[in-house]
Amino acid sequence: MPATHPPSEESPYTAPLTRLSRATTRLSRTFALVNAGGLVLVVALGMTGSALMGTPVLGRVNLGILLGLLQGAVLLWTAARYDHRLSRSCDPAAERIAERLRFERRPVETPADPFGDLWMQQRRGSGTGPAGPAGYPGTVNR
Amino acid sequence: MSPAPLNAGTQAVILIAFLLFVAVSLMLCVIVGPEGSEVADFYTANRTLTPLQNALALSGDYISAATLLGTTGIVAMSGYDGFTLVTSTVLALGVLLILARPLRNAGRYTLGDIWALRVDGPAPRIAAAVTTLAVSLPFLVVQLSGAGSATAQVLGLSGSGIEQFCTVVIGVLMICFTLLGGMRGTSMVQIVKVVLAFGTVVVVAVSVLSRFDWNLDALLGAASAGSGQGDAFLRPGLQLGTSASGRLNFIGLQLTVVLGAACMPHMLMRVNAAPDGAAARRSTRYSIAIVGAFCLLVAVIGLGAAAVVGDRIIGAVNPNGQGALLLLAGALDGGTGTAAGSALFTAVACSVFVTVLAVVAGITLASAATLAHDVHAHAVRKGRLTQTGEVRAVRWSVVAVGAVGIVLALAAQGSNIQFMSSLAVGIAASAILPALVFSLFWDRFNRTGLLCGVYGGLLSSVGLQVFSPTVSGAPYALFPGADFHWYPLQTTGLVAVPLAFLLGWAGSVLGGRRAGAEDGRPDFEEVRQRVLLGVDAP
Repeated sequence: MPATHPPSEESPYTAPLTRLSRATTRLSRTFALVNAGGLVLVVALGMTGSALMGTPVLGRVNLGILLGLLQGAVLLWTAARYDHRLSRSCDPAAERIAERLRFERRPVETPADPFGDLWMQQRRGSGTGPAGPAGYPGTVNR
Repeated sequence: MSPAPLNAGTQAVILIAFLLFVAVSLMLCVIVGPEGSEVADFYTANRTLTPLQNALALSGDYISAATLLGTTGIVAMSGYDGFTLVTSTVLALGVLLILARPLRNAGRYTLGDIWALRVDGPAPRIAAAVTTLAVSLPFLVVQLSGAGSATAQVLGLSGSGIEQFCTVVIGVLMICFTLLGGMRGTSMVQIVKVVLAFGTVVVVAVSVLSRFDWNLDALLGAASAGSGQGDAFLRPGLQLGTSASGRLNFIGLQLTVVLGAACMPHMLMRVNAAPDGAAARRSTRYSIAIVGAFCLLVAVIGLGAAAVVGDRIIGAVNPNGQGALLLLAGALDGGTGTAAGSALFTAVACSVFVTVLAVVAGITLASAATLAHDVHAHAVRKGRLTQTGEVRAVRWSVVAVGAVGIVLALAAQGSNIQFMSSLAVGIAASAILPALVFSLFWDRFNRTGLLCGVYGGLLSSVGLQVFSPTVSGAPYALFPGADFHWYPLQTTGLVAVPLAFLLGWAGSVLGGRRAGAEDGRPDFEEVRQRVLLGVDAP
């Protein structure tokens, strides 16, 4: 569970994250609007009365069918563009920030405890009788 | 009720081919299934699939019997409106494309993991479990009972007893698949299913086009004639009517499908199975292409069914047109009397079976995962469950969910439950999507907002559906005799989705004001780091 701290604590990562977030949002919004706009257009044209969408363009293939195919093509193209743009600009930036974060958060090695071994030896050495109540390290049972 | 009655020889061939296929798939599941008791292995195949493999599996999860049988049927019966539905089905993946990377970065396995990022305690977990089950169970029931009637149709048999038997058999098979394979096994089955279904659909479409000498005009003309509607077949308005409410219905249907179809829990879980955020996005992009090609072929097949078989016969088998694909397969290439025709019909029948089997396994896994991971491991045991314990809980949940699905499908025999597909998609669009978007991108989202948005969306979409003409008051309703409907549309998205967004926003604003700044929720900065960068993502 992520720790809670008082909000509005500015970290050095806030600004680059905001830039990244804005860039990603801009690309996502363009992608969403283009495709949503296409759908709205096609549905709206269909609502205006079937005469317009039924206009034959190539033999029996009418405007409606062509617009539907165009929608599909636009989706494929914008999806490829969106993915390509993000992987070219936003993903490397995210990776750079993430690297810095991970480096900062790497587990700090505790310095070796110079007296640790001695304490363990003392504890083992003092056990002549049954183990007494949990005592102070180094207590000898008398 | 197929145009050419199946003789005993063809029935035997189909049965043997199918059983062989099932046996091979089961073996595949056992071989690649999860080794031991690692949760990550069971839920996400330890994220070892390549982007292309994951894209195929994602497409497999997406292409359910609803797409293969249902959409083909709607194109066959309603022409242009079917085309629009096809386009909306593909567009829904665009929504998932935008969400893919943030979702993968933020999440671990289930929807509850994502909501738990923003809200502490068992509340988000329980909300996720309730929503997942609310979406998955209706969808599961539709797939299972569709499989039952498709089997009966394939074997040329009729009668509710046969359909019930088939439903039980497929249900039990599905439980075995999911138990043995986990995510990795079901991913392999999904990939095999996509390849098989795609190949079959290509063959059928090519067969249709070559029958009309590759002349699209001739196909469209024959389809219009076969539909009995003439020129109106290729114009909007055939499916739901051209009155004001018919048009609203149409808009509502497209909106619901686009927003909800790709936000279903098993799709989200599949996205979480990618190795990292960028791979998740790439997989989704590839799957748009795969599903797009598939849907294009589905449209051609729908037209072919109207042209070759005719709407009168298709409508007689099932008023929604679900019998279209199988009827067409039975009528092409000289019909099932010839070797080529039988082979095609068998291939199509196997594709349908495997499609239902694979999608049902995916849905069951997602439901079982949420029960084991969200409810048991987190809400009940407060995160103190061992990995072995959780995998055991998942296995039991698979059995439980499968059993409930089978029982409900048996109970629903004979009723028209097609609306349950749009119910499931509607719940996904209103209960899941707004809360997901707010969780990933909005800094002021809090516990009140989550609960209001999720439960508000859930209650409004279920409530409106119950009081819609799909449940009572219309000849195609679940209870055609009763009439207690006051909501005029067949889908709930038009009302429930904006309502859920509004409730999520209002709940957050009002709840935040009341609780003050210190309400124990994690700092948004940490959330942003996780969502944008994937730091702390396992």
